[in-house]
Amino acid sequence: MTNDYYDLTVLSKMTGGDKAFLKHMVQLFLTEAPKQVEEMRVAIENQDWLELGKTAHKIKSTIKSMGIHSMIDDALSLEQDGKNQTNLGMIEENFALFEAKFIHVVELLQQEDL
Amino acid sequence: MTSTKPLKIFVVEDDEWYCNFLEYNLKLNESNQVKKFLNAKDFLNCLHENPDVVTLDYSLPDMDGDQVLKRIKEYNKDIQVLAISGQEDISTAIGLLKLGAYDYIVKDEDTRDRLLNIVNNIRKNVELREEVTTLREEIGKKYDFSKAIVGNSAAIKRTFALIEKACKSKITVSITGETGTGKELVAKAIHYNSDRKGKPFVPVNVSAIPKDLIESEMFGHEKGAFTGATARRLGKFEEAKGGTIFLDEIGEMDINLQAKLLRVLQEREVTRIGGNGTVSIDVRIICATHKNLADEVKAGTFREDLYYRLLGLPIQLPPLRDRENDIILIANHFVKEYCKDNGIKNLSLSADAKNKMRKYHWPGNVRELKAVTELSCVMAEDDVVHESDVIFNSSNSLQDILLKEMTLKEYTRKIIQTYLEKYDNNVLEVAKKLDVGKSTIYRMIQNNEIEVEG
Repeated sequence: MTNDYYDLTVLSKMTGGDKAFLKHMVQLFLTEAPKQVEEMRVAIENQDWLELGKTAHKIKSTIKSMGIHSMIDDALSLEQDGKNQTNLGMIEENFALFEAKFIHVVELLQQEDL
Repeated sequence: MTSTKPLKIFVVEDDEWYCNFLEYNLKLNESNQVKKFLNAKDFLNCLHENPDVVTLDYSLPDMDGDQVLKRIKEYNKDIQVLAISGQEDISTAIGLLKLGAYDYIVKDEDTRDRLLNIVNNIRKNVELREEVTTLREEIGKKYDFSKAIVGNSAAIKRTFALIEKACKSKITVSITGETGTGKELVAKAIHYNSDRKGKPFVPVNVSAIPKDLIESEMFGHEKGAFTGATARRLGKFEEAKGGTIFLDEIGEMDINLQAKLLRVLQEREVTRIGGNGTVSIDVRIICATHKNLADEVKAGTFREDLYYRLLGLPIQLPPLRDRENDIILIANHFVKEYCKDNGIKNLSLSADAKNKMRKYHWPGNVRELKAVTELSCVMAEDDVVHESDVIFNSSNSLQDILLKEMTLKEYTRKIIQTYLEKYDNNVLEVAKKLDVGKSTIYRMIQNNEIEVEG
């Protein structure tokens, strides 16, 4: 439920202690979030920085709600750098770090006994 | 959450994960119909479906939140919009609320509770709004004058024709008529059948408000305008904004206040007591009086200029005694109403009861007829109201005496008897007062037509 990467008690509060609902939202994250990460990768490949900013904004909101505190700042940097077209030289590296964390978080979440 | 009034809720949110979160919570109330939209364009294409509530993500990919909000409010201002944003930003929140958003919530761990509370409040608002609409329709029906005002006499038909004209125009209406003829009913009928029916009808009984208070009642006051004015108060004219003000017993208005009223009518604006600025008013005026205002003008108690301003379309309500068979039609109507209100079946007026009602002069008009009819229904022993059940309590004793239909000789005897009792059996005094010969009185005493005590 709680580790260095995330704290699901946030989501638990959000879902009002409804366990089935919590499980449903985690499952939904596991199916939907990888699609958004993929969209971010495509945006970087196309150097479509505005699109990157928008997708990062979207996933940031989900990450916050899911209580994945370890990734919020990373998502925020990608959002702002994409939107403002700043630190473009670092964007690929930052994204790689973000993606690596994401994959690890997904693995941990899959192991959760909810 | 209990299943109550179903709401049609549109969730507009580009984050599919969050969209599902909102949908799940909103569907906890099974009666809610929830529809999801991932972008503004798809949502705006479905706006014609008229949702009750829209939860609107402020940062949509294809349009700004405030633009979407404006489009919703332009389409239908009654659609309640709940703005949802990822970040807490006071200026954005204020901006959205100014544009007409119902509330603003941030995506955090309290979102669920706030969302459910707000939607519940919106539900209550929607229910209240629907109730108001229904009640307004009912009031409209109640004051459908062809049903509310009973009668088919020539006199009342002339009144109907005038009411119809008054409904179609914004002209000031002055209603005159004896007490109990239904002046307020006519004023309401005009309001609720005019295009102002959705706005307030504000009655003011000029004679019932103390002289010192009436100005503040009518025009309002600012905080601190006088001792006891602890807060700003809107006057009746402002209260009636967009609707109708009914000034009953206008003939009783103090002459000083008449000047102020005249100014309000001329300028179409009011100044609250103690206030500097003026407030423009859009109010239709209907006034009523049982007095003859033209006579009051002649007597100098009513301003001539105000009289002409208020005259507008004059509607003179006929007294009940001039309304031919309406007396019986109305009495039958009141009997039916009494039966309905009290769960009684088949109560009816007998021929002799009707006859007694027809002969009476009804100084209190329809109001009195209602009271008399209700009392007669109470007094009736079986399912028929008889003559003896019809009891008049009119304060006009002369009319009552005349109604007894005695012979002239009997009336003479009664009058002399009354005078003798009043003047301690002093025959000379009574003869002088009544301008009759004293021998006439002595003869009546001698013949035992009149009893003299002592």
